[in-house]
Amino acid sequence: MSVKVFVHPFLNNGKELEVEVKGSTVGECIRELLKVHPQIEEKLFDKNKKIRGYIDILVNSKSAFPKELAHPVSDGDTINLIVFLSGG
Amino acid sequence: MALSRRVAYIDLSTGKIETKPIPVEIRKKFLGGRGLDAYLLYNHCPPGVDAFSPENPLIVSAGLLVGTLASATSRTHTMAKSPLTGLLGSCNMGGFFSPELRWAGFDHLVIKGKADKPVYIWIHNGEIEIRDAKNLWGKSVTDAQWAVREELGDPDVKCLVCGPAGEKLVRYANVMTGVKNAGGRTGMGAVMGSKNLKLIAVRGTMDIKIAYPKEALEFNKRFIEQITTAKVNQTMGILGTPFIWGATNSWGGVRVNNFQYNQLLFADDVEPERFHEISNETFGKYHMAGCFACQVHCRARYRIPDGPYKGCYDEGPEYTTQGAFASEVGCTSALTVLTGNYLCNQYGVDWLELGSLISWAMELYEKGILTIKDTGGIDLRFGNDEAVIEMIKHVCERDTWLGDVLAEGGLRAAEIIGKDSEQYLIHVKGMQNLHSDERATPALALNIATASRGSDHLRSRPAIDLYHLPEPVLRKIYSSPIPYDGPLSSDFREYAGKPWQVFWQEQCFMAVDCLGICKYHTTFLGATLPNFEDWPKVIYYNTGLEFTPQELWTIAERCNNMERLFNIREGLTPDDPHKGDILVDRYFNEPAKRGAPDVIGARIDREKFLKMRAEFYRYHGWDEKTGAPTEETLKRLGIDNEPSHLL
Amino acid sequence: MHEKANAKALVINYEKCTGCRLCELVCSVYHNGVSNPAKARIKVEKWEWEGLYIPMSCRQCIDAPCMNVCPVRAISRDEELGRVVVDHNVCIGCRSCVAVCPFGAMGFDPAERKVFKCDLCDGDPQCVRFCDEKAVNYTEVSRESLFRKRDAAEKIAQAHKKSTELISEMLD
Repeated sequence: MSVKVFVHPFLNNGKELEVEVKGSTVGECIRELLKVHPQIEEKLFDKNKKIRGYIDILVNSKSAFPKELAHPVSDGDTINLIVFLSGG
Repeated sequence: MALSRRVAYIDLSTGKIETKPIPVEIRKKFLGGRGLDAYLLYNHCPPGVDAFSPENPLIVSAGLLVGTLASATSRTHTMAKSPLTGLLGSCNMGGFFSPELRWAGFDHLVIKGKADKPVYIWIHNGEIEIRDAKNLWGKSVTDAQWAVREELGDPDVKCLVCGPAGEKLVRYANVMTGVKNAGGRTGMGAVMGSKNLKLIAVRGTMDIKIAYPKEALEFNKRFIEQITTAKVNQTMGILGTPFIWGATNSWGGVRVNNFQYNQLLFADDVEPERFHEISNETFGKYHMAGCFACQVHCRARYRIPDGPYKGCYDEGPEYTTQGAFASEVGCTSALTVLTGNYLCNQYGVDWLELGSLISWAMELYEKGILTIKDTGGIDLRFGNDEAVIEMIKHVCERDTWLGDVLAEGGLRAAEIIGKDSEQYLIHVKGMQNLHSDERATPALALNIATASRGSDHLRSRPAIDLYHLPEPVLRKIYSSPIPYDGPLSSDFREYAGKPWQVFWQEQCFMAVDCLGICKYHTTFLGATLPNFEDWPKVIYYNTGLEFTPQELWTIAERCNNMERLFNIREGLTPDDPHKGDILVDRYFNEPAKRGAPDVIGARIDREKFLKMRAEFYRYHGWDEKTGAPTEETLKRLGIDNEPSHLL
Repeated sequence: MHEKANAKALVINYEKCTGCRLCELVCSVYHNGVSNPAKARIKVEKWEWEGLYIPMSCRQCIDAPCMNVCPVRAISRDEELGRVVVDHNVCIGCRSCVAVCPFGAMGFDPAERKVFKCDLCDGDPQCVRFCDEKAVNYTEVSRESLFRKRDAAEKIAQAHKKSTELISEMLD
C-alpha cells in the first residue's frame, strides 16, 4: 500500500515535501513520514499531541477532520498537510 | 417580506425625513448592503466634497439576507466619503444592529446634513425621530448605548454609535455596536461626529416574511453544517481570530517594529492559547460569543486580568489587536493587547490604523525624526508597553501635539512632521496596512494594493492561497461560476495566476457584503465554505428572488465597478503614491529578515507586480493606464449613465 | 393524570449560550413563517456589559399559573409531551396568563390578538435542533438536576486538580 503525502513548506523548513509512505490510516502514514522527517513532528502536533488547530489534513483533497488520524487511506490515495496561514 | 424594507433619507440640517420603497429592479441590480450603498453613495455624494462637509452622506445598511435564515446574517454596512483617504469610506460589522434595523422596517439610511447640536436618531417600527443627545455626547461607546436604552426604556434597543474618537474627528474613528463589534477602517465614526450624530438607536417588532419557511429552515441547517464543520471554523470557535495571528507569526508574515521585521520573537504571552487561558480564568470555560444567528462564535469574552483597568469587561481581542499592540509596536505583553483592545473599543477607534501609526511614530522616534520633545515626554521606543497605552489615549483625546497629529491619519501626519517621515509609512491610498507583511506573498500584495478602501485584507484577500492547497481544489473554487483555465499555483510565492484569485475573491467578498453574511461563512479562510454556487438557494428560500451563480457574479462586478467609479471620480490614478493601486517602496526594496527559510529575503518584484496589476485590471474591464472602467465595461453592466438617481 | 416519567422538557444551560439568538430566529420562522424575535417563544435575555446571556422560555409548569388563571379554561396540560397548551378556539385574548407567568414565557401577538407560548414544536424543538452549543437541550426532566450536579462537581474537581498540582510543585 502506498500513499503520497504532500507537506506544506512551513512544516518542513520552507521546502515543500512529497513523500511516499505506507499505512492504512492517516495516523499510520504520518508516523511513517516522521520516521524519515522527524523535524515535522513539532510543527504538526501541539503540546497535547493533537494535530494543531491551524493544520488541516486532506485525504484526496477532502478534509479528514475531525477524526483525522483515524481516517482510513488506501493504495494510491494522497494526503495533503495544509496550514491555515492567512496572512495575518 | 425582506423586499418590503425601505430606504430612509434623513437630513440632520433641516430635520426632514423621507422614506421610499426599494424597487425590485434595483434589488436585482445591486442586491442590498454594500452594493446598494455604493450606488447610493455615487448618487448622493457631490463630487469632490470634503468628507466632513454636511453634504457627505452617511449611508447605513442591512444586507439582503440580514435577519433571515442564511447563517450569520448579522452584518451592517456603512459608507460615506472617507475623511482618512478622500476616497471610498466603507466598513462592515457584525453584532445585532442591522437585523434590528430590518425588524424596524428599514434597509438603508441615507443621512445628510449636520445637526446644530448633538443628536441621535431613534428608529422604531417604521417611525424615525431625531432626538437631543446632550446626555449622550462625550460618553464612551458602551456607556452611550446603555444610557440611551435607559432613556428609551427598552433593554433591547440596538445602536450604531460613534465614541469619543468620532466626536473628536479622529480620521479613523469607528462606528460600533454592542461591546466590541466595530465598523472599522476609513473613519465612518468621524463622519458621524462631523454631523453631530452620536448614535442611531433602533428597535423593531415587524415581521420579515420568509418566502419558503420550511425549505429555508432545512436548507439553513445544512448550510450551517457546511460552515461549522470546517476545521478552520472549529479552531476559530475555540481560539477566535487570534489563531490566525499565531500561525502567521510563526511563519514570518506579520509586521514587527513597523516594517523592520516580519516575525515577533518571545511572543509566548501574546499567542492565541494565552488569550484563551485568560478568558478561561477571567470569564469561564464557555467564553465564546456569537453575532446574530452565527454558530461559529469567534468572539471571546474576558475581563482585564491586571493593571489600571483590572476587572473591566470586554470582548476580543482579534488577530488585528495582536498585530496592532504586540507585533507592530514590538510589544510582547498580553496585558497591553487586552488593555489596548479595551481602550479602542471604548473610544471607538480603528486599532488597525492606530497600531500601525503608533509603530510608525516609534520608527520615526528611533530614527530621530521625532524627538522626546515631540512626543510630549513619552519614551516612544519599540516595546514600551506603557507608551503604547498612553499614545492610544492621546490620539483619541487629541490632547498632545503628537496625539493630535496622528489623529489626522498617516499622510496628513507625514506632511506635518515632514523630513522623510513619509517613506516609513506603510499604507495604500492613505490607509495604513493591517499588521500583515505581504512581501512573501504576491497575491496578498496585489490584494492590499488594489483594495477599494485602501490597504486592507477584507476586500479581496485570497487567504487560502497560503494554505498550499492541491491545484485541483484551487481549480474547483476559482473556475466557477466563471470559467478560468489560466495558471493556478499552490505556491504562494508565485505571481502567475494570482491576479485571477484576487479578482475572484474581490467578487466573492462583494457578493457576501451585499447579502449581509459574515466572511467567515464564505470561501475566505475555508476552502469548502459557501460561495456563488451555494448562495442562489439561500436567497431564493428566504426572499423568493431567483438568481443564477453567474447573475450573482455580474451583480458583484456591477457593485465593484460602482465603488471604482467613485474612487476614480475622487482622484484615484493607478500610480499615485497617495491615491493609487500601488504599494509603498519598502515592499519592493526591503527584503524580509525573519521567519521560515522561504520567507527570509522575500520582497515584491516591482515589474512582476505591475504585470499582475495590469492583468487584474483586464479581468475587471478597466483601462490599464487610467485604472478606470472602460465604456464597454460600464455598458455591459448597465451603469454607463451614473449617477442615474433611481433611489 | 400523571406526568410521564420520561417526559422531556427544554433544559437550558445558560453558561453555554453564545448569545447568537438563532433560537429566536428559527422559532419565529417555524411557527409564523417570519423572522421576528418578538414572536419567538424563546428569548435570550442579555446583560451585555458583563457578557451574560440567558435564554428564557416556558417551563411547562406542573401547577401552571397561566392555566390556573385562565377564566375560560383555554389552557391545559398535554401529559403526552409534558407541555402546557393553549386552545386558541377557546382563548378570549384577555392576557391574564401573560400577566401571571413568573417567567414572562407567555407572549401576545397584537395583530392576531392571540397569546402564544412554547409548544416544544410538537416534540422536535427547533431551538434545540439549531443550538450547536447545546445551551438549549430537550432532555428528560428527571435528568436536569443530574447535569447541574455534574457541572458543579466539575468545578470542584478542577480545584482539586489544581491544589494537587500546587502541592506536588511545593514538594518538588
